[in-house]
Amino acid sequence: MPAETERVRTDDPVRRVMRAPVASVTADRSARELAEELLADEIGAVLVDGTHGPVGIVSERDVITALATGGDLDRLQAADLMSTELVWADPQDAIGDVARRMHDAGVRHVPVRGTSGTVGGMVSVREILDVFAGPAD
Amino acid sequence: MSSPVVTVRADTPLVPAAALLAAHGFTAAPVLGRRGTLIGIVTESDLIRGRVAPPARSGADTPALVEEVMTTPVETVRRDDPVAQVAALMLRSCVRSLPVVDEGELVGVVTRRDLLRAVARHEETSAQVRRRRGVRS
Repeated sequence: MPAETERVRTDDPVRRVMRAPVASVTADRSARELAEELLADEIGAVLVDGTHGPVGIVSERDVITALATGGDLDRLQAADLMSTELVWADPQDAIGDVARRMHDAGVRHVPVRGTSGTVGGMVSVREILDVFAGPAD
Repeated sequence: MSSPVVTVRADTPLVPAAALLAAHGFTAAPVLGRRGTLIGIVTESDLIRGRVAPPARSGADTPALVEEVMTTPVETVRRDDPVAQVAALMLRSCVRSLPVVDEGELVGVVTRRDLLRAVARHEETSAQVRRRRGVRS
């Protein structure tokens, strides 16, 4: 395993660039509260908690869609806005592979599995960009 | 919106363009043509896609340029446009940022995060923004 001071490469494990801990909300949070949460954490998406782990993800785009379509931002809830098809990564997956999976699935945020069913972190297109923007090999 | 604007030229290679975005913490930049006019917008996702799956073309021994991955033509908004209208235009155009143009001049960039901030502050109309700033409408 490379030392942490070394430049991260696209074949390094995604755990090197994932962000942790991961912000999560309950399914009854309003769209306006989600906007506040997304801004406060400087992240592009939050996970929506269920009884046995995350049941969905709400991104900036979902809140923007509610705004664009004239929805009541105080009544619409995370449960109404969330995507339920989560694309997951394992912490040892290569960053380049996760980038391709994100591109193929059209998602910008991928939760990373932790131990025993927990969420270990989240990687966004932003962290991936930083790796690909590094000096060419 | 963010102002002043960080722009990139259409003939900039992807790597320095990505570095410029990362250095300024921006997710997108308006693209200027050789005559200095606004011709498109390029995002971090465009740049990643260009690195992961370079555009198919002849002359593959030269680096891919911003003009090969940018969104063009680009829609623009005005300072006083309602945020719901800006949000709808972003979704329709499949972009996360839009240039703000005032009398033909590029004066800023408005991003999805700017819209989220407006939602969090209950400022969905320019009249509400003016009220917060203490400006009479």
